[in-house]
Amino acid sequence: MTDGIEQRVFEQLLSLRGRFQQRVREVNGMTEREVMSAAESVARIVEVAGGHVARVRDALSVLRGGGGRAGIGTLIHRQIDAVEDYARDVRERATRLQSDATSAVAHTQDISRAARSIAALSQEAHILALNARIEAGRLSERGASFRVIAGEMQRLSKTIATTNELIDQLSRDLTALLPAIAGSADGMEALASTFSERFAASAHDVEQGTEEMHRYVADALEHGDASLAQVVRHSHESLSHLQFQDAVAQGLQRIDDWIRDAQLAAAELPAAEGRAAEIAAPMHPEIGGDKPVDLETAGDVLMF
Amino acid sequence: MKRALVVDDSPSVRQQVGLALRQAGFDVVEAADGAEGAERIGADPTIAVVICDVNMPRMNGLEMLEKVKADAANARLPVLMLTSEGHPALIERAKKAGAKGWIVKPFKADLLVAAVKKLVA
Repeated sequence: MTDGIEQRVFEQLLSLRGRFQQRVREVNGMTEREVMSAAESVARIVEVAGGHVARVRDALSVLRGGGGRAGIGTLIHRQIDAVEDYARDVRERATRLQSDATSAVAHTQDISRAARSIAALSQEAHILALNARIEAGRLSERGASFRVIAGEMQRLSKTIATTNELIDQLSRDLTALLPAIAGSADGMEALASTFSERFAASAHDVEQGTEEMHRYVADALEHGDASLAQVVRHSHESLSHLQFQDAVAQGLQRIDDWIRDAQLAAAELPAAEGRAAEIAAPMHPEIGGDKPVDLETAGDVLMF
Repeated sequence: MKRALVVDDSPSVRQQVGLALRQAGFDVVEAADGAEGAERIGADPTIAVVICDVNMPRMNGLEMLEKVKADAANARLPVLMLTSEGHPALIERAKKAGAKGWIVKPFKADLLVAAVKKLVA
């Protein structure tokens, strides 16, 4: 009778432990999966936040430049410098053109004076040719060669007079045109000056805008870095809290150890003699032996 | 990027330690027990630090530590024990075997990362 009870106790313990281990594996497997999913979500949050901060950092590096690449600020500065140089060049050329036009007016006056001298010489040549013709007529046959020279001189005198009139006309045209050129150069210089002033004002606005943009992005990055640090800190806290699963799993495995102790005790009963081999090994080896979770020392770091 | 080996029979603990270390810029490899951990250390000279549980099947963490440290090539390899155990005799055994630190589970991820960074600095 007692043997039967002892045997039933032993069988019950075997069955109980088998079912318990099965349930422990299910519970631990389920909590393990859930905890790992939660940890993956935490990691994903950190990754997303990190990606966002990295994009802000990229934006700032485009603005600031670096790695052999000029930033937008530098590019704008260069462009402003180039336009200012160009406007200065236009202004200087317009001033030079104005000055050259003024000099050219003086030169055309010199040409007009020279043309008048040439006209006087041409007149003298004409009179000389007339005198030569009279002299040739007086000498009759002997003056034939004189007549030829007189004819050539008169033709030359006419050609000089015609050419001189042309030069004089050109000089007058130039004299009339050059003040207009000087006026245009003056207008161009004034236009370039006005453009320079307006551009300088706009460039100043652009520079201010760029600096402001730098500040905004730098602020965003600073806040982003701080936020990311917080996200990482909270993620670490979450990871710390998620370790409840390990403690729960170990706790359940320790209960398995207690049931196993009961099995070993039952195996010493006469009716269970020789059945100790049927008792399964502990679910989880613990070289430190059975002990509760020590929340006082949990997380302590001891460096040697 | 420094490589850290995490040896623990619990996948979730390996994952949590791995996430914390990856966020801190480590390259993390894993082993599920002491025997696999010792194998990985022997095969991968780029491992810069080991974080090792104590209670594990096949080969426990202290046995793994003693085996690894018996090889002169691993004399300078820092090993940090991460375990729910806190018995002074076990801590002393780890210290004698050449471990550089002992952290009691459940660990605080920030403190673990700080300890690991200190060991590889």
